[in-house]
Amino acid sequence: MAIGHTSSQMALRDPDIRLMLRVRDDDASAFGELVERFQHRLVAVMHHLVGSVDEAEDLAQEVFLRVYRTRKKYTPKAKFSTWLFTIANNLALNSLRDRRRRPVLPLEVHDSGPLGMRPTENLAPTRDVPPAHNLQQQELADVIRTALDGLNERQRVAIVLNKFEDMNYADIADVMGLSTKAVKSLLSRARSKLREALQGYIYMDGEAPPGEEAGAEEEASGNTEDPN
Amino acid sequence: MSSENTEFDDGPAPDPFEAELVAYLDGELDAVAGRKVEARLANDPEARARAAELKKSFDLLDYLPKPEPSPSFTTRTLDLIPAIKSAVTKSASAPHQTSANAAARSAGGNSGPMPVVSTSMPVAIFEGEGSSPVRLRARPLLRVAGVFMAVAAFALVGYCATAVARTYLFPTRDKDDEARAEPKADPDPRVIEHLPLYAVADDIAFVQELAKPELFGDEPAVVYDAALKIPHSDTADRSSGKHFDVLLKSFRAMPSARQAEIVKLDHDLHVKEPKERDRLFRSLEVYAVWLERLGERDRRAVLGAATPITRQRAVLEIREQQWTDALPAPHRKMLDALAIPTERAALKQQWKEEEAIRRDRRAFIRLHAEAFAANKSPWPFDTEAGRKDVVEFARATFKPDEQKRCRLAPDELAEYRRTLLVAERDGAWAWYGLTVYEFSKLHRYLPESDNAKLMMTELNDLPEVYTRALFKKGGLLRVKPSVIGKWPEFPLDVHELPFVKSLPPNSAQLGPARLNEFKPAVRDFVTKELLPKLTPDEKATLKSLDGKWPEYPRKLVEYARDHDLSVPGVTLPGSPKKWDATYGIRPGGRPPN
Repeated sequence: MAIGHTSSQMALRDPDIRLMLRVRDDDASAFGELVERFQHRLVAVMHHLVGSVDEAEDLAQEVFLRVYRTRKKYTPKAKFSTWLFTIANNLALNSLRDRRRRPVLPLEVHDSGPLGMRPTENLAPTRDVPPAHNLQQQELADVIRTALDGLNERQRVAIVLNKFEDMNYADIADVMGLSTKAVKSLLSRARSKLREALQGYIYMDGEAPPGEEAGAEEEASGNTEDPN
Repeated sequence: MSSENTEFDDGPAPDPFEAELVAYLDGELDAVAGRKVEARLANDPEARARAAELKKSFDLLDYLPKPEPSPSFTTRTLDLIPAIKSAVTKSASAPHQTSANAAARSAGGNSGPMPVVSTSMPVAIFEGEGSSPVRLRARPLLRVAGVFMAVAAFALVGYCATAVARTYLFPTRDKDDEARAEPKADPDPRVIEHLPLYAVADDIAFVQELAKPELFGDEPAVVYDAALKIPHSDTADRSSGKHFDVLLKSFRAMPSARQAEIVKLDHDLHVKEPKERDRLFRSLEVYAVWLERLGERDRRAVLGAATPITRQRAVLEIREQQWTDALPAPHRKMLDALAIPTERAALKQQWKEEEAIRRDRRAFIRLHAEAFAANKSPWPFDTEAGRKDVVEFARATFKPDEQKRCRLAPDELAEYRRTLLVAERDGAWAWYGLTVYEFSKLHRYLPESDNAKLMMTELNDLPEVYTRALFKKGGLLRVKPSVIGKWPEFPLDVHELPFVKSLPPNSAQLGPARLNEFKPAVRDFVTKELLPKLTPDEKATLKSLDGKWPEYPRKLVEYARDHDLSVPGVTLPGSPKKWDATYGIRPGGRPPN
């Protein structure tokens, strides 16, 4: 947060804020521009959070609607995207909690998250179970989606903002209404869970795990270059 | 922004080092804390492995699909706000409308014979003025049709008013030719139905370019959904005939030369094999949607290009820029840190190659999806004998069990062992097959000899004329240490040294280069299988290389491959073509070496 700067100074620096101020001042074309400018990011983030394209679009629409309804109260005091994703975060968390409360769910409910983990046999295996073998059943993307679904809501939000919005811890803390320290813990747990869930898939690209590589180097000493 | 909930119970406290490690990987630690983590990483292999796993599992998220909003998203969102809707409708006649008021204008566009449609809000042409401003999601087909209608309307009407697109849709031609052109009957309705797609393409060669992985061939819609058929207009709309008539009118308004191009493109697409035709159609479809979503300036650059080649170049440049923009933040930072353009280009090239490898592997998985699902192993691993032959071949040629003679690099050796283990333990032979196939291309082998003197792997094994020259000309320093002990890498490396060319002709050979110098299995193969199939010219060429190493054995292996024969102990057991078909790259991907 920039303290001591006036709105106009902030706006001069940030074209998004400038656009939002036009929305606030009822410039008819500005809202359309705002929707066009942010729809891709919002829909993508929502999709990563809720897993369904249709629901992601509905939520993104809700976000824009809320932006419009609260436009008169808008005061530029942070990056516009932080404000926008704060609204998005609230709506997404509400939606995920609603879903958890619904009695009929196609997926098993997990105590740490609204979507719940899928049955463990469908989850990414450990490295003992070979990925190629398991990909008989489903594509890698599905496995990663399942791993993401295995995180609880807050962890998922933090991971998605960190990964796909490239937000630093301070911005994530702003969006989620947490301290930076809490975000650090949250992301640490989330990353550990992802690591566990995806362990069997992380060396699919042919790169040897550090341990195996070290072993191989010892066995084939001197053989460091491709002879061809 | 709520700030009341700054701490919360999110399960057990994380491992402190893991939290530091994650923050370190995210660039969130200060210098002192960062150095602490680095010090531990330097001394603790387990920590390094953990860091690598954390990073790689996070990178895997890049594989998640990145959905785009549906084309009608803006329109539907603006429709939710009546004030905005009415305001932009009123200003629709303004000469320089923004995208928002263009949306409103497009809502009333279907009243005239040639609707003026904003390309950003294509679906609006299907929605009447009286559409309810509620959340309206187009049915998938309608949405697809809407996109294509918009592309068509855009291509046929909107930009016709501008000079740039006139170049594209109405290429410059001799006016006399046009005058002479006879009025033609309307083409097959199929051409009209696909006009929105055809209107944005030049010819079949252009479409084939679009289907390459670096353009649109790698898009999920093209690659993944094999069941996806050629897009058709929504049946309900077709029965009303309204949109068909609009398209037909647009087609009739085209110059006859352009009409002929479009009819030819339709023909060229439909004579393709159904699978290939569908792939090309899907690429064209993805391209059309992509084009429709491009910014004004970029779209003009593509549509206004004077020739198909310059259009391809424009598409490629924009795709390249989009690829760079879509790089993960750490990659972008690495790229930005490089000041020299050639270094940046080299790094991007390296990433693209890595991407291509991942793409190929996934393509391989898709190729065998059905067999995997049925728990079947692909050829030649579908029989015990086939499995045994390939494993034996790999042991004999790559020498994974011989420390000094092993021809695989350490990472390759690890991969080889891992895939073999998985194959033998779980029956996942496909992955092993792919690994062996790729390594056999990377590390080509040559026929061995029973005569140990012709199987040189050390400096001491070399003929005297070579060692003398090596010592005299400092050549010893030029021999790569990594090839010592390996055959045929060592003699091949020596063969490439500059001084070898100045040696007298008929100096001692560096390897077996005559039929009688090969092992009996290869001799039998050449005399009984290969020679009877060679043409007289091929036989003459082979004869002219007799005694020359490595030219003679290389040519022999090449001819065997051309005639779809496997050289025993040298190339993979079984038909080379079958190996390519089973483990090679999919159409449009990287060709096998």
